[in-house]
Amino acid sequence: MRIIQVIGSFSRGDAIGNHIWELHKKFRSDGYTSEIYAQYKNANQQLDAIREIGELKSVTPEDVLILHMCFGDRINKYVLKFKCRRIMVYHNITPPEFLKNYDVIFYQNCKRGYKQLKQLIGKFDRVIAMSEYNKRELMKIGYREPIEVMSSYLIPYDEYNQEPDAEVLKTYRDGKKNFLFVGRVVPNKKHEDIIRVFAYYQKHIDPNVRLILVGNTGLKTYVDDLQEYVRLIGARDVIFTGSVSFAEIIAYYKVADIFLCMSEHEGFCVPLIEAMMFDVPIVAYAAAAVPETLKNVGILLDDKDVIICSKLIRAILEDDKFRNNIIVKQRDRFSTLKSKY
Amino acid sequence: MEQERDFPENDIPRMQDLIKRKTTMTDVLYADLFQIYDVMPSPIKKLAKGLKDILKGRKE
Repeated sequence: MRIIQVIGSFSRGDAIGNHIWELHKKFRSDGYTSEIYAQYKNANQQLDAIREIGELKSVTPEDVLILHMCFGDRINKYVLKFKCRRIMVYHNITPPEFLKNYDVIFYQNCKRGYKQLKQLIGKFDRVIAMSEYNKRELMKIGYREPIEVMSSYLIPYDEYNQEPDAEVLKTYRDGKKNFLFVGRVVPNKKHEDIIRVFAYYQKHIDPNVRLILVGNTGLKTYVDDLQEYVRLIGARDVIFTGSVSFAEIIAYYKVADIFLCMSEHEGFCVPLIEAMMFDVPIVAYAAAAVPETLKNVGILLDDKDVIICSKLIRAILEDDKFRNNIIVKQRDRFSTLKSKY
Repeated sequence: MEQERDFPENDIPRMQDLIKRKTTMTDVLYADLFQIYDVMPSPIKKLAKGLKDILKGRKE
């Protein structure tokens, strides 16, 4: 019996890629034959273990095929031709309306993803949702089969023990307070709302602050708008890092004073877990799966009122007791999540 | 009151009030076509085919 994991696009280092890789390691250590197939894989990474989907042959009825569903891709329906046991893991798909004005192909693929999701109803032996939020979405779409919830991603915790990037530490440990957000720069994550809060805070509360936005800047139309916005409102010290190494990500968490998330769509949001891991106090807008991932830790915002948000941030940055209370609760939540796997 | 004075009115405009997305008519058309037909509009198809031909070294 083989366990075959399939995904449209595989990238080591993102939440889903890491999750698939950790499952792969677990299956192997448990004595199973484990394989990973993808339509595309990140050309910049050494990914010899990831095979192209066309190489998937001789599938037997005893094999277990796990489709990781997160995007529209022909692979999602292609797997139905294999007569074996099938499991779908639903990671969520970005609602296309966020992308309509920024990238029509991206928009089209997300739209296609939702269409395929409907077409796949009843085609899998088991369905796993990567959060209660994702489960609710599947049920809304029309899934009636039992859906199990996996309440956290598998995260390669050991890798976070590596040395942080020295250059990042040196550059950003300069006395300024660092606001941080980590995630691809895409419209559903609402970087503009982070920038707006930051700009207000910098202008009216404390000029000695910096905003570090870590994440892939491949969606140029959106990034161009954000940079223009920064210029028009006169914000300073807003850093778009683009994609960074793992050592750099660790360093950014180490220099962060606050993790600010204004995202309006997350299927889970692994960076919140990372912020907990590094004792960075979290302020987050309560949308999609964010409240479920935080589970009453950090500060959850019901709306995006810039002044309320700034008051909270100032309290966190200036009131040690308040900050420590938040961090203690975040540590508890992190321990719970980590102990599950 | 002292604390309130620390937090003046929010004078930072929202991005959508400052920047009108530079969506071209073609973008809108493509998006609408996708929405209506869920197909790749022919200009993109042609572009994709041209690229494929170039990669295969068969460009006419």
